[in-house]
Amino acid sequence: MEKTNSNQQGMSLIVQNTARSIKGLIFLFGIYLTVYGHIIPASGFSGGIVFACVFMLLTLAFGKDMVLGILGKTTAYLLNCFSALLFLLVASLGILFGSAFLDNFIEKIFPSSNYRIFSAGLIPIYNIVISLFIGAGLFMVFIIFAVRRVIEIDGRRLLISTEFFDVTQREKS
Amino acid sequence: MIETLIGMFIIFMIIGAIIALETTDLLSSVISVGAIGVAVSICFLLVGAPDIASTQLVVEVLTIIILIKATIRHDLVTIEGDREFFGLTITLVLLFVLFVFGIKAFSGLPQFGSPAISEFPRAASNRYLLSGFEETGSSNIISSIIFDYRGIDILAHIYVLFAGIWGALAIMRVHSRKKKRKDIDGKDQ
Repeated sequence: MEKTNSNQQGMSLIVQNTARSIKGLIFLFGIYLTVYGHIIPASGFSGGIVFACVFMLLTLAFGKDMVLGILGKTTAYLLNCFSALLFLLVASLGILFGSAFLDNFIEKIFPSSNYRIFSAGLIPIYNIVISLFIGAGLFMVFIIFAVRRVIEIDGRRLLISTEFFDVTQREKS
Repeated sequence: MIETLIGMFIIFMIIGAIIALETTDLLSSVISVGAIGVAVSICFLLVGAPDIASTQLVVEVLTIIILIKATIRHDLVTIEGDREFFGLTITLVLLFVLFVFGIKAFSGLPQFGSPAISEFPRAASNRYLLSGFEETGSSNIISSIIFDYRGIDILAHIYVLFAGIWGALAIMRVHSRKKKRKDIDGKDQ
């Protein structure tokens, strides 16, 4: 975070300091929504959206290079794909240990005490997987729109990705 | 009464689907698909599901707009004269038909304050509310419904989102990234 030269990228110092101090709290709120999804009125969807919003805030405040350093685009792709597969895998475990596909077998084998974090069987696991999926997917869409630029080269308007070469350096030189 | 109407609409939809498949004109095909969508929406109204009917109508309108933008290029001719009046009449008649079916559908809904559970105690939602807490151990009934009772629904939602996100990324991608990069770098030097 300190490596980015704050003179060129991102917003002003006030916005950057506010974002820096508030990002942990927002992330904690996302974790709370996800992990307590089977007790409070929330679920993995809202937790994932809050996770993505943290990274959107960081992108707006510090510029895209810092966020791509924390959570790269390839990492987001892999997280999205693997969490989608993981959902299918956890759902398929019901065939092995329970009676049917998407069967909540943990709750049937070990009936849980209610209103605890470790209760309700597979539902917290589904919440965590879905929060990873939604967060990574929303972040992917946002970072794609943040990274692409339309530049003019020899009269042709090209859509390029500023991840691979720096447009500002080209314009300066 | 409702069964005959739904049967008539199903025959109408089958005819529309055959026309949409067999016609050689792309625009007629798109409009046949739109007619099928409106018929599905009216069927949803008749069986007492106005929320799904409105969703179906909105999705249908969006699909028609996107498909017409995709099939018709720039040779769209504006119609002038008497045919404008004809189109307006057809639109008003169709809106009136939809309005009549909507009135009929809303008169069939249960009164405000008397939920459908009280009329049908064996409905699935009654079981969710009564025994969802004991059966799944989740005090959030919505969570127990979407992840346990109707898990395949949420599985399909996840994969619809997955397909949507990756489809959007495939449209937004930079064509032949390596080639263009080499191209621009070459021009730099």
